[in-house]
Amino acid sequence: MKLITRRISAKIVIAMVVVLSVIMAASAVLIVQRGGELLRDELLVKGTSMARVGAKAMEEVLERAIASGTLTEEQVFDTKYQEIKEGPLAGAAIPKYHTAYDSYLDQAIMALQDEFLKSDDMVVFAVLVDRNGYLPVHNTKYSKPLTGDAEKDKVGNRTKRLFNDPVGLAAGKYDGKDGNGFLRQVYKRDTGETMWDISAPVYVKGKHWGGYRIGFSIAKTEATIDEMRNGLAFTMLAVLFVAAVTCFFVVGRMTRPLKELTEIADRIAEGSLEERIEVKSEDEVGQLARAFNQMTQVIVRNLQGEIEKSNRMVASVKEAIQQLSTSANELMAISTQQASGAAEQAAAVQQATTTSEEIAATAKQVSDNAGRVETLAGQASGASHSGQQAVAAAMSGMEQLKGQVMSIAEAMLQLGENSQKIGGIIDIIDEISDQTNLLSLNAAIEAAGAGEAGKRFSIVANEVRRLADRTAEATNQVKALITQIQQSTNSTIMLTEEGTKGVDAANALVANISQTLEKITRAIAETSEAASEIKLMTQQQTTASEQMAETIAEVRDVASQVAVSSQETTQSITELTGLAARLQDLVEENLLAEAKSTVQAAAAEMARILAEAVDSGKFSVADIFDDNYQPIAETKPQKYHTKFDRYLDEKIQAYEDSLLANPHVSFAVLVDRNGYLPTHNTKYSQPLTGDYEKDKIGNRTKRIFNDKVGLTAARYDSRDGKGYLQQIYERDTGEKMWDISAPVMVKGRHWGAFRIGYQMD
Amino acid sequence: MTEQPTYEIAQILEQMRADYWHNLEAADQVEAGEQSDYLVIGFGLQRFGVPAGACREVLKLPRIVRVPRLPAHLPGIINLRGEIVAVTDLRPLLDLPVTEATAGFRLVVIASGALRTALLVERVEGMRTIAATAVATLAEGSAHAAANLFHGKLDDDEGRFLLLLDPQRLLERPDMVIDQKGSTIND
Repeated sequence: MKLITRRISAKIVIAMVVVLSVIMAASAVLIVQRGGELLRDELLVKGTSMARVGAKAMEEVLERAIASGTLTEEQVFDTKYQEIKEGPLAGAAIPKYHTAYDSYLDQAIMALQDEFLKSDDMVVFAVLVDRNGYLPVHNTKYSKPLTGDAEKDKVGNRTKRLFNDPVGLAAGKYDGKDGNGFLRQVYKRDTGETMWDISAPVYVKGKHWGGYRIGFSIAKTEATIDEMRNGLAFTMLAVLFVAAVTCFFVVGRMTRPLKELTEIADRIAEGSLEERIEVKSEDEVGQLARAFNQMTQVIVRNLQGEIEKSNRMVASVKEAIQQLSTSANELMAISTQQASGAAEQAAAVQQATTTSEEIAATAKQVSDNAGRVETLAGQASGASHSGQQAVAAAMSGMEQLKGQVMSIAEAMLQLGENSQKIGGIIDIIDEISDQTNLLSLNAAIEAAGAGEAGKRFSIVANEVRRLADRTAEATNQVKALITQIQQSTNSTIMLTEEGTKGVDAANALVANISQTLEKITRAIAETSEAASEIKLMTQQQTTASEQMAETIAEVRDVASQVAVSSQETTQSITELTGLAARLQDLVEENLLAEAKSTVQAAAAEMARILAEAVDSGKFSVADIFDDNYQPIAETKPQKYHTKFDRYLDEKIQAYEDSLLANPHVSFAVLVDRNGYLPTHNTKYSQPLTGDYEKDKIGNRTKRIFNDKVGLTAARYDSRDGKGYLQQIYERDTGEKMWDISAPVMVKGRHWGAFRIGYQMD
Repeated sequence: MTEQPTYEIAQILEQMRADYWHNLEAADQVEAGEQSDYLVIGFGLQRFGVPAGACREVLKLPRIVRVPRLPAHLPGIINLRGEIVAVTDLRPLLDLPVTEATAGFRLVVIASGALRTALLVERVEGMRTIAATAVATLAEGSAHAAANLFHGKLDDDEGRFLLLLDPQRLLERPDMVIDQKGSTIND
């Protein structure tokens, strides 16, 4: 199908073949029809003449039989068909009949009838039938002896049967009165052949006796027609084929310049704008080529202008996109801030609401408490009044007490004086008793001196002495008592003095209390006043805080609206960012396509150089895959040698540097699968200065870049089928890089990768 | 306090009256056996009996005039109605602790023959009648016997004993000799 749709020659050939075949088929059909008709006409003429000849001959035979007297006229017209029950024809599957004349006719006409069959091989049968379809004598071919096999006999022995089928009857009954003189019927014989039955009427003695039927097998005629048709078709196909092939080649040759034109146009489309078409001829194709060349020139001229313009445009679009992206990011940040601010605000408002509710509640409590304070202050005022009365009572009581204590003190002084007087008296008594004691002793001594006469007196004296002793004891006791009394009165007097002092102090205290109570009463009055003021003010505060709550609710609504709108803003910005990213992708797609082909070409070149190094015998495969990195002394960051890096310095640096012709390319290097970079661009292979910061930028060759990006690039072996890997990262020098890498295969093994770093800005 | 003294006084007086009559009857009835009266004097816990016959009188402590160069048992002299009497303190002689004499101290004037002195005593307990049979001699070699002032002792029912002073021995001690015609000193 592709071949057909894509080649003009094929299209032309097909169109031609279709048209030719239609014409040829039509003419063939026409020719065949004509030929058939001619054949059929010829056949009909032949058949009718045969039938007529046969009918005449039969009339002759029958009339001669009547004339010779062999058969009577009645016998000839006999229609009493006797079924054959005896003889060789008996027992046939289809009944057979005798008439009065059939035996005669067997001898008279069989040879004659067979002559028709012999004269033309298309003649299947040529028989006489009476007007009822009775067939007295068949051709020899159909009068074979009976075999007993019904099928075989049906074909081999058909004589003396009544063929009263429509065709048979029509043929028998046809009397030629329609003017044609013959009847043609087409039918399918019970043997399956398509037959033409041509019959002519037989008259005996002017009476219609029956008909003479000639059976033509059309098959043979049809076969002739088919043959003719097939021959014709073959011839035509041959003609068609030759014509088609010729046409295909001729047209193909004619369209070859067009094809070349197409290829060149493709190449131009692919970018080789310098292509020119050789004008070989002056025909339409040649003119087309010339016009095409002119067009290309014009287009190329315009295109270069356009490319420059579009490059500038792309650059400015990129810039715009970056600005857009930056602004979108800023906007995003702002709206995020706004959103969070709004959320904070909402939270703050919530807090404020809570706080104002709390304030209201607190104010209520304060109001209640102030009310209670008022009540309590009233109670306290009453209490302090009664306290003042009590203090007054206490003060008068105190005065009384003081007087009483004073009188006690006086009484005590009196008592002390009296007891001292008693002491004086007791001293006298003591003196008397002492004297008495002495007297009594002396009396006793005198009595003892008196001897027996003073006996009783001595007793008296003794008793007196005892009495005096007793008195002395008693006075001693009294003295002790008086001393005690004096002590007691002294201490009582001191106590009463202290008591007086205490009463004075108590008086002072009570006076103080009285003053304090007065102050308290005043303070209570003030408190009561203040509490009622507080109550009033807190009621006002409650109202104010309710108003505040309302205001806060309004603020909250506004804040939530702000939050919603900032969310919407965020979403819009997100969309905007997505748009910017898509735009950037679109812009970068071009760059990517270019970068991809560059890096893949470079990787192929590297693979070639490495393979060549092995093929030339300079390195073994193991040497080229050497990853036994030998540290280079006194390098920081650390650098390494391998077996192949010095060779590569000579071989690939120029190629690597050539890729830096593109101003966007920052580096273009070969790395092995572990990230080892044997040869860097000249730009990064400056002589070492010893300054770490300077060397980090100026000399990056022969280091192992096994950071994430470096390793990912180095290990990428294209198993994902893309053939390249792109990564975006920030270089250790701070530049934002776009890293495109393609795998390098050597001898069917993954050796490493070629990396190109594009500056993103 | 107010009732008790009244009650006590009445009771004491009653007791004393009863004792008085009892003692009178006892004095009348107890005639059997030899007995003599002693004036009982005392220093602290120590009591001594002085035969009533040797006693002349009991005095309140008057002003004692100190005489220089006299032994410790002769603290001074007194004026007894115009007569100079030496005061004898028994405590140094009996090795008893000597304390300052107070207002309660008494002087007991004793005499033996022409000799007399005033004994300085802490107290005078009274007259006591002692049967001769109750008097026991002092154990040889004892401190009291060595003092050579007592002619016996009376064992008390309470385990205490009463030393019976012999005024003659006391007054005839060489260190006690005071000339009766010592009136020269009197002036």
